[in-house]
Amino acid sequence: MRRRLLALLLLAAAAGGVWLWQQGAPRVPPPSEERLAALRQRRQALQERFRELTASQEDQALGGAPAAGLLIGIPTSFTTTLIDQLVTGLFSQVRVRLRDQHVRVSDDVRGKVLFGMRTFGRFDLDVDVAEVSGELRPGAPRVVFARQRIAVTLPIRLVEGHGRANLHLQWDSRGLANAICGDIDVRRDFSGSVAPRAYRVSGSFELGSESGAIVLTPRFPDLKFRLRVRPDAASWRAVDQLVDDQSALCRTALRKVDVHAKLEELVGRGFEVKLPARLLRPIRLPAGVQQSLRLQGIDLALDLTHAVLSVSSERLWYGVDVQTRRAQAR
Amino acid sequence: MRAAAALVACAALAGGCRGERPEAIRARAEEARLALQIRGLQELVEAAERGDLLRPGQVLIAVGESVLQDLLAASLPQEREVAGRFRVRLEKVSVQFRASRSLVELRGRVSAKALPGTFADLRLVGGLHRVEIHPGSGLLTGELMLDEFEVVRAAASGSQSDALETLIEELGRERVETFAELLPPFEIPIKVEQDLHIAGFGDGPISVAGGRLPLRLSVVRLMPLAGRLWVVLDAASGPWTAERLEDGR
Repeated sequence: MRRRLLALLLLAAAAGGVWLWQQGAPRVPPPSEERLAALRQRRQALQERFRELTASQEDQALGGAPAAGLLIGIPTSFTTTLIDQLVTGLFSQVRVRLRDQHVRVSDDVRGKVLFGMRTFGRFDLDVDVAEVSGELRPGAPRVVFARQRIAVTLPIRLVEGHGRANLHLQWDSRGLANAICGDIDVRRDFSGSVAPRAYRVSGSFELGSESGAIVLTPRFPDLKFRLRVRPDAASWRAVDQLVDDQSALCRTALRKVDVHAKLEELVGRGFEVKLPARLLRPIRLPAGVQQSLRLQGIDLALDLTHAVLSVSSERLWYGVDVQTRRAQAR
Repeated sequence: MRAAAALVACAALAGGCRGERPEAIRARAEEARLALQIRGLQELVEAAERGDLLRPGQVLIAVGESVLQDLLAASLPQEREVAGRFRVRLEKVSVQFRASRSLVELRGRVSAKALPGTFADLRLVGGLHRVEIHPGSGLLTGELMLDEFEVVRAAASGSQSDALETLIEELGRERVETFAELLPPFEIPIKVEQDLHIAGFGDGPISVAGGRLPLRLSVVRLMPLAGRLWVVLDAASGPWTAERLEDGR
C-alpha cells in the first residue's frame, strides 16, 4: 500500500515536472546563421545608404565646422534668443530712484515805473526734490550677427515715474514795492509724474572664448537719460494759490516772476541718470569644455590647445584639441 | 519502482535543466544587437531622407575618435574580477566613428582564478549605446554596449596547453553579458549648463534685480561620421525669471 502511494506521488511529480518544462520551453528557436547573415547585410545596406545621404548633407549642415578634437556648435538662432531674453529680462528690472536733489533759480524782477525801469525785487526759487523715480521698459531687441561680433539695438522706454519735492519761494521787495508788498517766504510741497520718453541702446557683443567656452563680451556706450518731472494738477493749483494769497500789488509783482513758468523750467530740465556699464555682463554660452575628468576612479587632467572660434551661417563654432594625462596626485 | 524513480529523474532534469546551448544563446544575443543597430540606422536614414537629420536650431557637439580613445586609454590598464571566476586585465583601447557606426575595441588578457598561471588574449568589441546629459553634473555621460568578445591563445600562454584548452573552453561557454560590465561608462568632457544666472546689483540711483534664464537641452541623436561622434541636442530657453531685490523692492 505504501509502495503504491509512493509510486503515485512520484508519477504526479514527474507529470508536474514535464508540465513545468513545457511552460518554460522557448517558443521560438534561436536564429539561424542565414537569418543572422541577412541581418548583417541589412545593417550594411543601411550604413551605405546613410553614407550616401550624408556625403552631401554633411557639407551643408556641418559646413564651416572647424577641425578640432572637441567641437561645440551653438546655433545663431539660439544665441539670438538667449541675448533677446537676457537683455530684455535685465532691462525690465531696472529701477531708478534719485533722492535729495536740489535745483535753484534766482533773479531780479524789473518793470517800468512812470518813466523808467525799476527793480521791483529779487526772487529765489529753491526746489528740493526728495525723490524722483522711474522704471525702464525694453522693447524687442534687434540682433544681427557679423563676423566676430553680434550687434544689438534695444529700444527702451522710461515709464511709470513719480517725484516728490518741496518748493521754497523767497521774494525780497525793493524800492516802492517793498513798502507795498514787503517780503515773502513761503513753502509748498508738490508732486508729479516723470515724463515718459523713448531711448535706444546700441552696442554689440564680441565673440571670444574663455576657459573652454564661447563668451559674449558686451561693448555698449553709457546710456544716459533724464528724469523730467511734470507737477500734477493739484501741485500747480498750490503754486497758483501761493501767488493768489498775496495782496493785489504783491500779486502783480509775483506775476512778473512767473513762478509757474520758472518751476516748470526747473523741474522740466530733468535730472540726468547714467546706467552703469556693468548692467550688461559677459554671457557664457551654455556648453563648455571641462579641463578635468574622473574616469574609472582615475583623475584626469585635460590640456586644451589650439582653440578656434568661428561663425558660419547657422552656428557659432568653438573647438579645441585635447591632451589627456593623469592628474598629479595631491 | 525503479522505473518510476528513473522517470522522475528524467522529468526533474527536463524541468530544471532546460537551458540552451552556448551557441544558441550567442546567436540570440547577436540577433538582438543587430535588430537594435538596424532600428537605429533606419531612424537615421529616414531622418536624412526627410532632410531633418540636423536642424539649424540644434546644438552640435563633436568628439574626435582619438579624444575618446585617449580618455579611455588614460584609465588603463585596469584589472577586474569577472563572474567570480575570471581575472581580466584590460590594456589597450581603440575607438572608431565611421558611417553611423561607433566601434570601441578593448584588448587585454584573461585568466581563470583557478588557473592563475594560464591566460589567453581577450578582445571585447562594442559600441556607443547612449549619451545623455547627467542631471547633476551637466556632463555628457555615455554607456558602451558589448557586441562580442573573442578569446584566442596568447602568444605566450604561460602554462601547459591542457590548462589553456580548459580556460578557452570555459570562456567559450560564457555569455557576452558576463564581460559586459568590463565596458566602462564614460564622460565626454563637455558640460552643459541648466540655466544662466545674472546677479542683481545696486549702483547709486540704479538698482537692477537679477534673474535666471532656464535652459532645456537634451540629446536627441548620435551620429558617428568620418572620425567624429556628433551629439545632436535640442535646445530651448526661457522664460526669464527675475529675482527679488535684497531691499524688498
